[in-house]
Amino acid sequence: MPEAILTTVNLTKRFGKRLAVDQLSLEIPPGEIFGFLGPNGSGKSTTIRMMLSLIHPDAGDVYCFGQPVSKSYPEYLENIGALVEGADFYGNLSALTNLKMLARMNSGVDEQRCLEVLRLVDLESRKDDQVKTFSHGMRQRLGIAQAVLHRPKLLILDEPSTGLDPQGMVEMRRMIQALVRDEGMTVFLSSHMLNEVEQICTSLAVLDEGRLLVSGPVDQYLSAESATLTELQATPAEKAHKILGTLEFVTDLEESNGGFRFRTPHARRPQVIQALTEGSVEIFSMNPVSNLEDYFLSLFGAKEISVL
Amino acid sequence: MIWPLYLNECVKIFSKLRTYIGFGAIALIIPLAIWGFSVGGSGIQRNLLGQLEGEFLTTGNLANGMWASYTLMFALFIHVPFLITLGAGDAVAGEGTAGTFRIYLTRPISRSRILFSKLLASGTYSVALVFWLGLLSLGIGNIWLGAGDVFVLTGDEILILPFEVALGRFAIAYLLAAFMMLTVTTLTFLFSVLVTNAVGPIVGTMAVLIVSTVLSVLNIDNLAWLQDNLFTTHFDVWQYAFYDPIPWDSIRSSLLNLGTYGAIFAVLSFYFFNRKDILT
Repeated sequence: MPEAILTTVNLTKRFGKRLAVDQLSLEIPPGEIFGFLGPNGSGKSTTIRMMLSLIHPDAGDVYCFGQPVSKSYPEYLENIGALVEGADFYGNLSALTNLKMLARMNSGVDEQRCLEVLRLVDLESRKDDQVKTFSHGMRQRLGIAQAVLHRPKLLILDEPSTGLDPQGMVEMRRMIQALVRDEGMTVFLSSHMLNEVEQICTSLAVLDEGRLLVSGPVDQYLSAESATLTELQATPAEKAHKILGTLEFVTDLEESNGGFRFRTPHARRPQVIQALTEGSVEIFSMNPVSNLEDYFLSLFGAKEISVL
Repeated sequence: MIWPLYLNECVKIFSKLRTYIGFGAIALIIPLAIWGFSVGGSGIQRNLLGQLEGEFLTTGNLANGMWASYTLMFALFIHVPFLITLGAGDAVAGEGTAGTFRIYLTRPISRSRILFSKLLASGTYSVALVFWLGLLSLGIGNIWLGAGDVFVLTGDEILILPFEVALGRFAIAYLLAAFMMLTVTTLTFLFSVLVTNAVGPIVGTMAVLIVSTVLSVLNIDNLAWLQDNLFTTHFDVWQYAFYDPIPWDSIRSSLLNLGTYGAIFAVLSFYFFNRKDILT
């Protein structure tokens, strides 16, 4: 097994009486898009800040390529690019000046590279504009640009899609996938957007109240629930409800958003459709709810989870 | 590696509008004051001559540009520390407020180096402000009121320095004043490290300066030991430049005091900054 790019061992941080991160041990293998999930306030950002030496842990350590960062600081940051929460820049300076300032802090990064990353995030035409005139989406893209400026091996992204419109989110995902594919980067993606993690991540870890709940390949959690939560829009509703109630492989049937929600194994979905059609029920849509969302609901129970 | 970081900090400082408030304020006050001296010049001269009457025979204009510059140093060095806090106070706290530490401190550069570059740039700003004051007051003063010998009161002595000698004394005075302002800069810097808003360092520095200055001037015997060691007691070190002969021992002693305080403030800044959790 290849050496992990970043590892945390018993990482712990306390703010006053509140335990923000509790003995967190994680391993980020190379070449992965590693999803870091958890509700708001679960300790994701604190963990990331400790990985980047922005916050000092009370106990435990972070290891980058096997070296404890407490000993390899600040050189280990040469291998890491990061966008932590919102992308905040020196607003009165241009995008290019911002990047040139950051380029001076890394070896082997020249103005050409600054222009290259601006092209990568489609901001080359705005390079001379003050960052304070940028939209939120543009700032986030510039945030990605500064994170990949020095060609890091690991890219840490903390909620990169927050505040973006749907098109911006799609662009962000494509950008992340392209960085992994074309530049060979490993990505550590913190998010509370389950569909985002489900779509692009290969591994994930789930954090709650500072503790690690689960960690492993995404596929493992997508197949964990054999009976997939499914949403149905059909008419007449009474007849559809009656038919679904008679099918033994349909469970947890309930009304939802003018239609129904129920669980059924993926393999049985054609039979559900057939039964409804034979019963003269018109089907407008029948879609599985995100598997990861379904898994999360089972994991956290009644806890409120921010999901898009 | 310090030079690129220092360049970054200078770009940040000199791209902000607030940086120029101090320069602008001085550029506004100096011509106004010089204008005031020119309008009330005859009255000022009468007062000055009144002190010399019966003992000296004076010819020419005592209230000239050199004298105006000397007088302005007294008035403005009370207010220049406030202008310094506007620049230096923002150096660290401003980044905390803006959230830019998240991109700036995640580079392979140690916090100590980054802080050192900030301290250098803040010092540059403070020194530039002092020399801007000198340049304007001497320049405008001598152009407007005319150049000549400078009449100074040092303690209970009267000294008239020839123009050529006075220029050198002014250079020494401004260098000493710049050193004194660097101590103020390090104090502001310390507050800037401790808080995450740009107002805190200004308020903190001014509060310390006011309290310390009050203690410096209180006429209480029991406080004499403290007064000698307060850094604000040595804020008038620049005045020694106009003594004859220049009391280098007193200057050395004052610089040692100011330098020690500056070093303590700087060391504390590094200590706290290296242990600071970046939460913004």
